[in-house]
Amino acid sequence: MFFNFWFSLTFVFRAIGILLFFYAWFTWKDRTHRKPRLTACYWLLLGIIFVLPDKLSQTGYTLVGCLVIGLVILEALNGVQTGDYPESPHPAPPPGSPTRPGMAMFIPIGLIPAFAFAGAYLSRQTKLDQTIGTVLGLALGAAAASLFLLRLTRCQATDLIQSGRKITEEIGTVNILPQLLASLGAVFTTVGVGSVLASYAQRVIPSHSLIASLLIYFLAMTLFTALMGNSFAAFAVITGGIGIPLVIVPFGLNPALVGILGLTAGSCGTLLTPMAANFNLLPATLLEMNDQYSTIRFQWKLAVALWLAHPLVFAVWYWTR
Amino acid sequence: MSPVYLLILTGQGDWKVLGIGIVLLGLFMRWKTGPVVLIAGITTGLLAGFPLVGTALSPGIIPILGKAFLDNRIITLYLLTLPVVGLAERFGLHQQAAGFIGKLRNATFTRLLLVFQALRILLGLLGIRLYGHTVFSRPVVYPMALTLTPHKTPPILEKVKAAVSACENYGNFFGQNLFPASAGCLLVFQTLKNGGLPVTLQSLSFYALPIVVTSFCLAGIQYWRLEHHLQTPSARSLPESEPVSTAPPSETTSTTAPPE
Repeated sequence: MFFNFWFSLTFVFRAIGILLFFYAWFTWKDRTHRKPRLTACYWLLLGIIFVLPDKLSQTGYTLVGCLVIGLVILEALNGVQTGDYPESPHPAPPPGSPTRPGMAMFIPIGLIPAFAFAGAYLSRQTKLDQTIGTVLGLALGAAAASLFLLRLTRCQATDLIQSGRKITEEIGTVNILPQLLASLGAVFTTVGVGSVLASYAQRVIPSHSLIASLLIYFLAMTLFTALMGNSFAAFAVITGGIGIPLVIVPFGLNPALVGILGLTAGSCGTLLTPMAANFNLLPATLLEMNDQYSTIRFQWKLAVALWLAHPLVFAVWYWTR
Repeated sequence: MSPVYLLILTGQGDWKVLGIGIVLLGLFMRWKTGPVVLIAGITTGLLAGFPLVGTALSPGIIPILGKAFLDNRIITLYLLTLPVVGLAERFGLHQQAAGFIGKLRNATFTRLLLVFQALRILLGLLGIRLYGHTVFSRPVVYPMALTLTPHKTPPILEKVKAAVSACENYGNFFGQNLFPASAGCLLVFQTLKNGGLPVTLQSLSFYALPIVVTSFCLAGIQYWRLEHHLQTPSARSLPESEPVSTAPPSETTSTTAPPE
């Protein structure tokens, strides 16, 4: 029981929730902030969602749904804004100062993936869930990196939280966009939007031509991934509806090869779509780009070229088998 | 004409695909993304005949949204890494990264991005999934890439930023399939098994290799072309040859009210 709690994601989500409560409190008190009240409410609502347990009753899920609607209303009201985030009372020493930490600054950044790796490795050795192991490792890595950094910079925990609040508020409402799009995907799946689209693709697929069938399968994977924002959601629908019954089985193809190519054809779609917000839109805010579509504008050329490589890889297998 | 609209016009499809149309329209018009997504979800549910709240046996749209939002909290895990990144940046992580790459004589823009893409592929091969945009791109790779960019005009910087975030995506998306127990390989394995086609996880990772190699080479060409573009005199004086930005020009507006 004790072990089950610690070896679970709930515990990591609670840590995030508590961090968000701190953000809400600091923003509420922030005199330089443009919308302190509404923004504080935003982090408070999101924090509540993060401290909730994994499984809830139907009423509980309805409540979460209402909290999500609340978050979106705050966004619609322009309620999520930033402040000036002054560095006092612990300003960083200026460049060139002997008290300024040097290359050691890379250590905390390296600790996070190192702990994630250790978590993945240990959970694999002990036959535990590797996803949870990696996530726990990452969380512990963040904690270890925080402690290390506080010692290195002689800052206090509030400075650490204030620095996190600055970046988190600069990202703003884009923070929840990936989760929101995943929820939209869940609604699409529940009401069967995917199967409507799959039945359309089934109607245009020619039964006699291997290359045409294969290309339509790859194209359907790319387009549906772009619409759903997630190659995993598209894969089950499209491979179950088109890939297996209309391509792999009738032409006697290698299922592993066609399956994995279908998945990466979907990834080409992920490179093209704003629906994959965490990969394509969130970096625009993180790197302070002027246009949130710049990443997609860069990626589309590789996505098209790589998509064309899919039938070529298949052809190499077909002629050398 | 897109298949979705064709379906509606010919009356063969179902009205519930209209939600996709709302999302596409909202993204195209750059309306606020959150409200667009929520309205699309609720519209889709209502068109398919679902109630808003529903009962315990047949849940309505709001509990479906709520459950999915709760189940997908893992996507927002990166929030936990932001305090470390933020404090390290305040104490000059960017300058350290820039100084470090400045000392390497053989460093070029292309080599830098390829090294990080290779690192992401390696992490994928080892089964480590993390959100590299916060851990690598912003604190480390971008300041390094900036050092290797000679003419820092706004359109050039925009492209450099886009290349840095694309580099993370390329390595992450395709590299993760090299790990046999990755979520992607498990999904392919399970879907094929359900369709009566058992395969081994190792064979999936094996067949993922050609696309990983191709993506790496294509990315190298793309970075090299950008590097070449960065160093030509036209990059600093002439206006951009292709239309780049339609977003608000000032950075303050883009951070306080994202153009959505």
